[in-house]
Formats: sequence, C-alpha cells, structure tokens
Amino acid sequence: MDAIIFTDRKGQELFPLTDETSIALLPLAGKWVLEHTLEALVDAGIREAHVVLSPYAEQVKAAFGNGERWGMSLTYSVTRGEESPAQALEQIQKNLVPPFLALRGDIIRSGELKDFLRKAEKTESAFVQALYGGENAYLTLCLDPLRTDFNSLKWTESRQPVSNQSSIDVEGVVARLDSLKDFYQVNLDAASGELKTFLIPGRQIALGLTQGRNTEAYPQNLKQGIALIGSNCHLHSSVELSGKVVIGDNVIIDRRATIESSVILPHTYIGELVEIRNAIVSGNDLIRVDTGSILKISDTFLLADLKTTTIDNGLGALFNRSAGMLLLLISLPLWPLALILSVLKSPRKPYFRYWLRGNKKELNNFGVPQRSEFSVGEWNVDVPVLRYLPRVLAVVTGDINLIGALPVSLDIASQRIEEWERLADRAPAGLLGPTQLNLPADANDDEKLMSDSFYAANFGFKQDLRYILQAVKSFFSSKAWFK
Amino acid sequence: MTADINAPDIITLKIVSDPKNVSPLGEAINALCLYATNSEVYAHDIQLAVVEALNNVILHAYKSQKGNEIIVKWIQSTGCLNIEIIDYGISMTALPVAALPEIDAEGGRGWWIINACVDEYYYKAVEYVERERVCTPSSSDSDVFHNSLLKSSRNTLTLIKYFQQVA
Amino acid sequence: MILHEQQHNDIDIIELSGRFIMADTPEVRNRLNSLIKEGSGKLIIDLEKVTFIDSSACAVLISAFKNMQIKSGRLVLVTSPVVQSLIELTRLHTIFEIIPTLPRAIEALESNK
Repeated sequence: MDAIIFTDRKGQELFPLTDETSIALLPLAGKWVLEHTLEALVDAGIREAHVVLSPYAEQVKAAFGNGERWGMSLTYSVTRGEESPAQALEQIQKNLVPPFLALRGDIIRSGELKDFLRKAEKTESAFVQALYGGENAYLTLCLDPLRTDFNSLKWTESRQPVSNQSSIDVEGVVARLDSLKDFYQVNLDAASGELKTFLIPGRQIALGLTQGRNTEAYPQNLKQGIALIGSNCHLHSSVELSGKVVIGDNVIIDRRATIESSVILPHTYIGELVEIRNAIVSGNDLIRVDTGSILKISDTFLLADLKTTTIDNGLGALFNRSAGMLLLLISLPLWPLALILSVLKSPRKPYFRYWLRGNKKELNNFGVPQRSEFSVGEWNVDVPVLRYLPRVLAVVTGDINLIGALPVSLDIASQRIEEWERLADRAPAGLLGPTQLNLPADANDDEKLMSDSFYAANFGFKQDLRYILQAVKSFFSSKAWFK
Repeated sequence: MTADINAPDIITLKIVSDPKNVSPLGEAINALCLYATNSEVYAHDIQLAVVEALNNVILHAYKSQKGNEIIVKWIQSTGCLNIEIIDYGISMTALPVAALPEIDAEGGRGWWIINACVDEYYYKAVEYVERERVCTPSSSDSDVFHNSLLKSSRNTLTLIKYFQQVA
Repeated sequence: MILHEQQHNDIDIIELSGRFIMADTPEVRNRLNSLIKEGSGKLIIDLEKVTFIDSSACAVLISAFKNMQIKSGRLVLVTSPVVQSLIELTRLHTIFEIIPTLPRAIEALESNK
C-alpha cells in the first residue's frame, strides 16, 4: 500500500523554533517529528510514501533522502504550504493506486496503526478516517479517491471535525503540535514513555536516565524524575536534572547548571550555574512555557547556539593562567620601575584600585548567574605598559584571559542595551586584545565597543595567537611606553 | 567567445561583458564539466554557478556596460574542478552573504545559488592604486599619504567543486 | 529562448523553451507585462521545455506573480525538472502555484479550483 504524507505546515504556531527549519525536522524525544510517522508506517508494513513539503523542503529532502535508512522508499513534491489536501493530491505527479493511506506527517500520533488498518479494510465505504482516543488522527484510508473527503487532513488553526459515519476509533493519542506548549508537553510525554508506540533512542544508564551514543552524563546528574539525553552531549558531573527533561543531540551543559522539566534543543550550550525551569531552550532562545515569554539571550556565557558560536574557542583556561604566571615572572623587573615612576608623578596616590567585570561567574541576589566583578589595581603613571601592569595578576587568578575584549565595569556593561552593543559580551574579557592594542587609550567608548564587538564576532584560537604576536611586537614599540 | 588551451588541464575562455555571451559560455562549461565528471547533475550545478557569477560581473563589476573583458579559466585536477572567473571591473569589498532575500524580492538570490551549487568559493581582488604623497618642510610626518586613486583592479572568483573521478 | 503565445478560452498561455537567462529577461518581462495588463487574469507560464534557468529569470517570474496579484488574477506555472529544482532551491515554491502538466493547469484554471 502507498502512503501520502502531508508535511506542508508553514509552522508559524511554533515560531521561533520554525524560524530556520520545517516542523518535520523539529526534534521530538530524540528523533525528528516526521520520523515518528515514518516508523509507524514501517511498523504497519507500508514501505512506500510520497511526502508533500513546503517550507525548507530542501532541508527535509536532505535529511530523509530516499528513505532507505527507515526501510522505506520516499518521493517528494512541494506546495505553497497548507493547501487543501485534495488540491495537493491533484498536483502530485504520481499515480496513486487505491487503497492508499493519506496522513499528516507534521503532527504526532501514537497508536496502533495496524489495528486501524485491519478494521478499516473490512469496511465498504469509500474512505475511513482514523480517530486515536476519540481525536482526529489526521489519517485517512482512501479506497475510492473520487468519493473521499480529504478535508479532515487539512491543517487549520482549530481541530478539524471528523465525520462519524466513516471513522474508526482506536486507542492512542494525538498531539497537534499547534503551540510551543504542546510541543513541549509531547516531548516530556514521549520521554516518560506515555506515548506507547514510540521507539525512544538511546540506552538506559540509570533508572530514568537514557542517553544516546558518545554522550557523557553521570547517574548522579538525575536528581529525580526522567531524563532523555541525545547523542554527543556533554554534561558536567555537577549538573542537576529533575522532573522530566529532554535534551537533544550535541548539547553541552556546564558546571552546576540545573534543569527542571525542560526541553533543550540540539546544538545548545548551557552555561555555568544557569537555572532552567519549565522552558524550551533553542540555541540562544529561552522560551518559558508557563508564561509564554521568549527571551533572546545574547550573553554566550549563559546560553549559546553551538551552530553559530563555539564556547572557549579562544585559548584554554589553563593556558591563560599559566601564561599569566609567566608574564608576571617576566614583568617582575618592571614593578619597581612602575612604583618609582608613580611615586614621582603622584606621591599622594601612586596606586589605586577599582572594580571590573571578569569572566568568572557567580549568582547575583536574584539567583541569576552573571559574570562576577574583580578588583584590579592601576599604577598612576602615563606609561601604558606600567599603568596596567597589575592586570597581569587578574590573568593569573583567572578573572580575565590573556587575550580578550577590554574589561569594563558592571555599570558600563549594564548600559549596553542594543543587540550590537551586547555582541561584545560574547567574548571573554582579556588583558590584551584588538581594542587594547590598536586603539589609543583616549578613544571614545563607542569606538572601543565597536572594536570589542568585532573581536567577539571573530575570536578564535588562531586570532588569539596573532594578537599575542602583535602584543610582543607592540611591547617594543614607542606606543607602549609613551602616551 | 575565444578559447585557448595553454596547458593540458587548463582551458581559458574569454568573452566580453554582454548578457548574450553568457549562454554559449555556460553551454561550454556544461560540456567541459560533463566530460570531466560524467554527471549531468554536476554539469548543471556548475553551469548555474558560473552563469550566476557572470551575471554578477556584468551587472555589478561592469555596471551593465558592454564590451569589457571577462575571462573564465577551467582548471581540472584529479577529483577537483576549479573555475576562475576574472574581471577588471569594480571589486566587491566583501563576499555577499549567501542568504535568501524576502520571498517576493526580485534580486539577491545569486550568491545563495552559487553557495548551493559549488563546494567552496573564494574571491580575490588585486587593486592597482596610484598614490600621491606630499612632503613639505613643515611636516615631519612624511608617512602620510594623500589622494589614493584606484587605477584598476583584477578580480578573481574561484569556484571549486569536488567529484568522483571516473576511470 | 523561444516564446510562444496561445489562448485557451479566456486563459492566456505563454510557452517558453530552451534557455531562459538574463539575456532573455527584457523580452520575456515585456511580453508578460502586456499579457497580464491586457489579459483576463488567468495566465499559465509553461516552462516545461525550459532546459536552463537562472536567478534573473526567476526575478521575471516573481515580477509577473506580483503584477498578477495586483490584478487579483491567478498565475500558474508548469515546470520542467530543471526549473522546479531552482524554484525549490530558492524556496519560491512557497509563493508560486505549480501544476505538473499544461492540461492539468488548464483544467485547474477552468474549474477555478
């Protein structure tokens, strides 16, 4: 028997998840949404299907190919999206021989398809619509295409009614994925085994904790409840999961982050101490399911989309601190010089201290993790190299990196509101960097911010090495010694 | 269109910037590619990328002015095709982002297509600049350049496609 | 590029064949504009015999689509595999009504489904 799968929803209900992909490719309990429909078909012995696509059709085709991986043979066509199924059927260049199955592939249904087919094949009507647990399952067995009413398959905002005469009800559940909340709930239900016919990928490493291949997670991560973790994930041993948690592939969760009843989409980084509850996290979007609010997090220290940013892609922490140590040793002869010059210039206050925002993280009064302040000194001299000498200590303590953006005070950081201004926050603060090396000390703040944003957008291991070389060169230039 | 074969694996094709010359050149590229890769899909993709690149050169580098030179260099090595599209018009300052415009916008799809059709591409602009430097007795800073004038530039877009070598 | 126009009842049909690229766009654009302006608001652009198409040709199709929308008419495309693949690559299938063959396109416009 053939199947025709309508997967042409435009997906506006699930925005921002469908911002750059089709509903068919949204991850649901470790698999793509459409994959669950394909598996149900294979289970019922249906090996050939034609898929009707609309937005991001090329992505879906690339992901599913000819269907071999699922033991199926797939063909495709495209429409403008959410068209009437009867019209879409007319446009398909494929001769469908009845009986065939017509169904939606961009919703979720869990039930025994075999059961339905067995019962439906016995009837003598032109078509039979399926109800799973009394709900429209968006699935119709068509025996006579000319007399079939395909309207129950049409995607509309509200549920389509099913005519009672030609329907068969079987046990099961239908989720329309018509809101972010529904998408969230189905993910949790699937992970906890409430959708009985679903095949959940991965192996159980502890009671309630299932994980995919190449994933590093620890039984102690799960405090209570159920967690389903995808493949190639890395969870620090101090991460705490509770309630029902679904984590997609390629997710990194850093030290002491806590996640409760949430869905984490693939390619996400969750920073140190971050607390996530009742939310969907997709890249750097934090979607609160209870309030419906969508928060864009621009600080990649908290949340990051690993497809666009890589965390720690500069030089490693150990390297930074040892380089700081080395630099401190080399710079020892300069310290007495700095002291003498400062005392000569301003005998009353040769040395002063103030606070800057560093790279370490701590919880603030509201329990939200943020980058912590550190105290740093400055010699009261005009020679730039000597003036900022005490910052080397901050590199040794790990408050700032060797190479990074210009460290700023919390006050200045909080004034950054615009998206482009916050881009600079993606980069760690550092002793040296393009701003410190290339801009004059008296450049205005906007200019410095622009330079830091540029660094944030481009930083990486190679870039950092280049800046180290540049720093060595500038050390011997006049700019470092004379204002 | 003129062609000259200056090495066994390099074929150079030359046209002047006129939209009507794009078709024969596209067909020539298609034929060369079919010969090299034995794949109609690759031949079509590469032809499409080259045609889009040529359109770009004609419209933007030469501002639709006819009669300017465009050189297409076909360089074939084992399992790899390099196609260089060379012009002497206005250089691009940066590669355009390969993203689709608003769905009903009429232009701006060229780079998206090029990006999809080839495996890699890069753009090189060599600029010839005339620079004037004025030194006066009062100015100590003789390193200051005044009046830079762009004389001409040679822009090369290289498209790269990998393929399975046919025996 | 060969252009061929015909009419089927009140439906305008324009058939293009061969290569449809930048050099051909001024002519096709003009013909389409006048067809849309003077026509009945039902137009089929038959691209089934088009062997090669580029993005500037797509721009002409988009412009025709927009003009037809202003007129509240209906534009249907009949595509060849090459045309279809470029339309899908540029995601234009989400705006164009595409019907696989000319007879079916005529049928669709006649019954106005």
